[in-house]
Amino acid sequence: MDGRVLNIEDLSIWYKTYRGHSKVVDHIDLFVDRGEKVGLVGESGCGKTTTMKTILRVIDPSIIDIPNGKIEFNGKSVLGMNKEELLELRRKGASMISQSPMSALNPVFTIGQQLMDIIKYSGQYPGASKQQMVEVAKEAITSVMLSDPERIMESYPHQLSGGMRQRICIASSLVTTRDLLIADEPCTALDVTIQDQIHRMLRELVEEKGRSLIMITHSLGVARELVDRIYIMYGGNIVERCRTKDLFRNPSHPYTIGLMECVPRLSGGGLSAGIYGYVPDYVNPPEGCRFCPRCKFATEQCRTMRPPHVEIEPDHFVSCFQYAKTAGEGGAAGHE
Amino acid sequence: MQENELKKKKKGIFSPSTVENLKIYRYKFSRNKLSVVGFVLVCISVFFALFAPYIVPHPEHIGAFVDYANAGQAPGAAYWFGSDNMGRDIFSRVIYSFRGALLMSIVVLVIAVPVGTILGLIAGYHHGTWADTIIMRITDVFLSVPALILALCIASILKPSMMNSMLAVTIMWWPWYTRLVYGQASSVSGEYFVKNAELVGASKLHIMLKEILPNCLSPILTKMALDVGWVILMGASLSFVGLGEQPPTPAFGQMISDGAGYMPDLWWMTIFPAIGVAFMILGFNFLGDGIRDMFDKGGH
Amino acid sequence: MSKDILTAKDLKQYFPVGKDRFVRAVDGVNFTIQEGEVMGLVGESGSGKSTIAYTVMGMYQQTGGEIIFNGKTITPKTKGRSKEFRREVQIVFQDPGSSLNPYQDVKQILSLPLKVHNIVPKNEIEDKILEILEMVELPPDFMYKSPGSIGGGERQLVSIARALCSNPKFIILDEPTSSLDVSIQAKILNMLMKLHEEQKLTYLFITHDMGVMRNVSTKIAIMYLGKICEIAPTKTFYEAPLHPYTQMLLSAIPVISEEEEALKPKRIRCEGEIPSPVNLPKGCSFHTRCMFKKEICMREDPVMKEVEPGHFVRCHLCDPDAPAGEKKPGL
Repeated sequence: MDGRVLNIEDLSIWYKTYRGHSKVVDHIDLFVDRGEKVGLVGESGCGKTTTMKTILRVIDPSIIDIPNGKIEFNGKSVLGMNKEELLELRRKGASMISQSPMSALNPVFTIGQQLMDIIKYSGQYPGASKQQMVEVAKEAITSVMLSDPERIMESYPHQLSGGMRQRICIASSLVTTRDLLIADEPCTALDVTIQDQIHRMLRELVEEKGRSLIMITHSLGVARELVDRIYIMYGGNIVERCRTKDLFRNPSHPYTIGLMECVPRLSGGGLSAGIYGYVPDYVNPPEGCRFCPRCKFATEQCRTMRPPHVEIEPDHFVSCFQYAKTAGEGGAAGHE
Repeated sequence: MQENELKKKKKGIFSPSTVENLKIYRYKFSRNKLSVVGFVLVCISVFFALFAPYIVPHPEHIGAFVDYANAGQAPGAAYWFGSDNMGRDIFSRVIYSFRGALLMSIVVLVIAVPVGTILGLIAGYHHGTWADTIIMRITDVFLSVPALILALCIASILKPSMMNSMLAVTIMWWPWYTRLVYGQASSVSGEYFVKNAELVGASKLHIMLKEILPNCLSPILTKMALDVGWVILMGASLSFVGLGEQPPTPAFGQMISDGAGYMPDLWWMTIFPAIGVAFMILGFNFLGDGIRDMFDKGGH
Repeated sequence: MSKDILTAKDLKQYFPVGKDRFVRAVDGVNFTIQEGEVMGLVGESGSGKSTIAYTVMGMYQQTGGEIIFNGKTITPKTKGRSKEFRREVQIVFQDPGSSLNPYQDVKQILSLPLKVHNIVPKNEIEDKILEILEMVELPPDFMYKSPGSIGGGERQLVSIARALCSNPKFIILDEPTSSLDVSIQAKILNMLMKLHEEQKLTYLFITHDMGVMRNVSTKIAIMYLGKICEIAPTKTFYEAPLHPYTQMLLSAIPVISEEEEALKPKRIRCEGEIPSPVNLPKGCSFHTRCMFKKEICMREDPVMKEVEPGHFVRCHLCDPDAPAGEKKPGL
């Protein structure tokens, strides 16, 4: 059982709006094994962050409905957890690094105070003296390649640069979390040279400590450099799932292909036309495949039926009718 | 063909996006049940104020009317809220007081809001210049004097009357709007659409009125809705000490103060006007909260 | 021979912080943009690239140096900008959320420049707006939409449309696509390039995305701490980057193909962070992060040298007299 840290099956998440339910996440399956680095790639508004926040149950329950699906964390159902179990999950099990390192840290406390609180309330170091906890905090700071931990412990967040703040956030997540780290576009607000350093560091730390990582990103390039396996998300669906190298060798879903063409290449070669159309309306999403209004290959079948998950090569699933035909199967959405 | 459709669209008062916006506003407003209650209370208040002469059972009791035979009647079938020490129907007088209270708040806000807004816009757009300094320091002086005391001073120097009490409240009310609009305007001035208008070479008047002002409207409206209640309360306070509407015309404060002398025997003389004023203030405050929710960014 | 449209000569923009201390946001920048060019200006946040844009537009009074636009010189003493300048030079801002007034509809937004510059008579404003919307491929019913009801990409198209209203010659694009998704970014970039062709526009394209820059620009300048450290024609630039900072930037880009991977300089790693512009390092401002720094780098600020025709570098380690192949520092 120790293989699977997170297992999401057939999960849907609906927001309540004045027009009715906004079906932001629609029947998704996702899993993360221990020690695995998984990327969740999609454009803004495709439901990546909503899914991840639901794992930690940090969305105000009064504004969402979860009509179906299950989330299992270390074999335990997250949706059925009571308050204590949820606290335990957030303290020790999983943590999330947000994309704005400024709002993740409280501006009126020093870094040291905040780190110490996290260490104390995580319950990971029972009976540790204050001195021991200071040592843990310093070690955490050094581990994210910041020199001079004493000075940083005494600094307030605004005295540090954005990159340093994000490092602190990563340090505080790593010091308490045993299983899963969810990084929600941790470097979008940072410069490319800082981003490179932080990604390198994140990868090394996660590997060294044996944690699992879910990297949420809109950049295929970031996913390519950082993760083992990629989920491509579009309009609340997972449209393609495979190993990183397979994805770049053989992108198969029309959306994935379009997305790859859109990335401006360092090697030149001009610009692609982009993907025609816009993200679907989540209150009245297209009946069949959610990508079909923008898809060049859409057929009548795509408009009326949900596409199945087809395994086009080992561990490479695509949710598209094109492949169902060639593989000689079709019909209902299949799970792995 | 397309042109024709466009022309048609222009003629309709509401473009599709406006209708959509109105739907969103209605949804946000009615999400909180209290704001709906407030809306109903305000509607009733306005109805009372407009049609007071036609709905009260004893319209003649508003003026100089004395009927000692029926003085001090307890609430009952003849006098729903009882009658006062001069035999006048409290119910009729309370309903009539809605008029004065509403009139006062409307007059005060109609004068104070534009004055405060214009000054705030000028100061906010010229953030950090001498215009800002002069306007805002004067505003600060007004804000630093306790509002009620200032109003009392002004009203007592002038002859006590409804007009003068309105004037007094207006004079101490505009600085709040200057402050509010100032903050909003100086932050909006930093937005890129204002910068762009400047770069294009638009006039200052255009920038202040067409670019910045619309962005200040939602806090102004919210504050106005909440302020109606406060102005009514202020008016009631002034009339309580005899500086507002002069007898025999009824006003909440004056009726409460008259009744205070007859407590606890003729308790209805005090209680019903007090309920009346509370009714209005609560209504406008709930409504104001609803309007604030309505303009609240975000939320589904 | 195309003519110069915009030239910056030793342009300086300092902002006071406290007594006798300055942020040297732009510190002696020289560049020339010729008609029909797309010059890319690349740098990290805090490098001063947006400040250059704002100074050219006249949002700040320049501290020193000259800006020459279309033969007319703007000095630190010039107050504001002439009406002609305001008509011919336009800017598109980064944040499409804040650059359109949320309380106006597209028609109001687009009619402002038309009215101010008297581009068309009053009764033709509507037709002109339709024409401009068509130019950026937006449907005519956008006229009555408010910025809040349209997507980020469409908002940016409206911003571009607004810039086009006054028939400009030169547009500054301040990170026009950095807050957009890639599929929308592609569309906007295509639109910009199409307009560049059709309307004979010249762009100063500010971005931090080297991938975008490769595909749109004809010439690239890299900025670091208020100074330009390398200028070169686009092709040379990606094939033979010289300045260590340029190499570092290139090496940091997450790419999606082996082909691109091969273009990234291998011997360099990203280290350190951009220092505070208030206390600039002595000597070459990049030496705190440079892997190849020598003793001279800490002492003397390098000067701009022309290594090849059109390829300028500010680095002690790049010797224009050295034979080809030995120009790269560290190689």
